[in-house]
Amino acid sequence: MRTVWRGTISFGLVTIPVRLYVATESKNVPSHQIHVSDGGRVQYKRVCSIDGAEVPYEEIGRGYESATGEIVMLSDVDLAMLPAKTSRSIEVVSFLPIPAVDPIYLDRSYYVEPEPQGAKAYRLLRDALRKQGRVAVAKVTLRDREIVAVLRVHDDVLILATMLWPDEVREPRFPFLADNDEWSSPSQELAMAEALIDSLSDEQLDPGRYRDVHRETLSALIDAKATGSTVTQDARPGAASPDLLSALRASIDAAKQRRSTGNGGRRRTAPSASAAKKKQKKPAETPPGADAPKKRG
Amino acid sequence: MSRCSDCGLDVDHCHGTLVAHEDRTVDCTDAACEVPDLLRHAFIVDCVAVLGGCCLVEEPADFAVAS
Repeated sequence: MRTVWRGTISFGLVTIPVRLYVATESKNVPSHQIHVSDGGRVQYKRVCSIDGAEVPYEEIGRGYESATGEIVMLSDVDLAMLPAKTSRSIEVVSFLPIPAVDPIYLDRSYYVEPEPQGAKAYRLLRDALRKQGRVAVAKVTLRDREIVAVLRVHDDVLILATMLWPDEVREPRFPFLADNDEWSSPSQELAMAEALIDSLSDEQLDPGRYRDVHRETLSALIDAKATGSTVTQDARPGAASPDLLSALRASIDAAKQRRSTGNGGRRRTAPSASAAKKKQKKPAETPPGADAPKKRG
Repeated sequence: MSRCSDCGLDVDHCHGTLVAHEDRTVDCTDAACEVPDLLRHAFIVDCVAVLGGCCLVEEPADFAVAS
C-alpha cells in the first residue's frame, strides 16, 4: 500500500501525524475497451478542443462551470485563497454512537496509519472510540474539497470514511411512497415476513460467506475462450410467480431445511471475540442456479 | 517543469484524469493506473464531459414478482 495523503488528526489539543492509504480495491475482472474491427485497445487522450493537440499533464488547468454555464478557469493560486482551514488536518469536531451514522452517507474508506511519533496518541484515540462504541466526526480537505468524514475503529486500525454531503444523496421520489400512509401490511403476511427475517438472521456480517459467482464464471469463460474451449451454462430454473403468502411460507421452509441440514445454518447470538477467532469459516454461499460454467476442452 | 503539487509531497498519485460515471464507478485515462481512487488524482471529470454521458438507464429485467 502506498501513502495517498499525509497530515494530522486534530483531536482537542492533541495532534497526531498520520498517513492515509486506500483501504478498498475493486476485484472486477480487468477489462479494456477494444476496437472490434482490429482488436486494438481504445485509449483516452486528452486533447484540446480548439487546436486538437494532445495536452500534456503540466499544461492542464481547471475550468469550473458557473451558474450561467460559463467556464471559469481557476489557478492553484486562486484555489489557495479559499478558506480551507482543514487543509492538512483531519479536524475532529464531534463524536457519535456508531448506529447514528446512516450508511448511505458513507463514501470511501482510507486506512489511517500514525507516524511513529504519533503512535501513542493514535492508540489512545482508537481505544477510547472502541470503548465508547463511537465514531469521531471530522472535517478535512481532500483534493480541494472540504468534506465531512468519520474516524472509526476497524480491527486495530482507524479508518477515515469520507461522507457525502446531504445534497449529494438523492431524494427517493417513487410513486409507491405516496400511497404508503394508506397501506398497511396485513398482519398474517407481516408475521410471515418477520418469521422469514428471523430464520435468516445473524448477529454479525460474515462477508466471507458469499462468493462473487459472476467474477468466477466470467474468469472461467475468459480462460475457456483463450484456450479455444467451448463453454456451456446450465439453464437457470424458471422462476414461478406465487402469491405472497405462499412465497413467504416456501421461503421459511427452505430456510429451515438449510438450517437442519447444516447448509447455511445461522447462529442466533454474537460469538465472543475469542470464539469468533476460533470459528472456522463457513463455506461461501452460492445462489441457486448459479453454477460455474463447465468447460469442454 | 511539472506544475504537479503532489510530486514533491511523497504521496502516491496519478497524472491521469479520473472519469466518474453515473453509477459512481470510475475509469482513469492512464492505462497504467492501478488504483483509480479520487484522492490519487488531481483531475476528475464527469463521463458526460468525455463521452457525452455513457450510463444508460436499463429497463428492469424480466423476473417474477410475488403478488
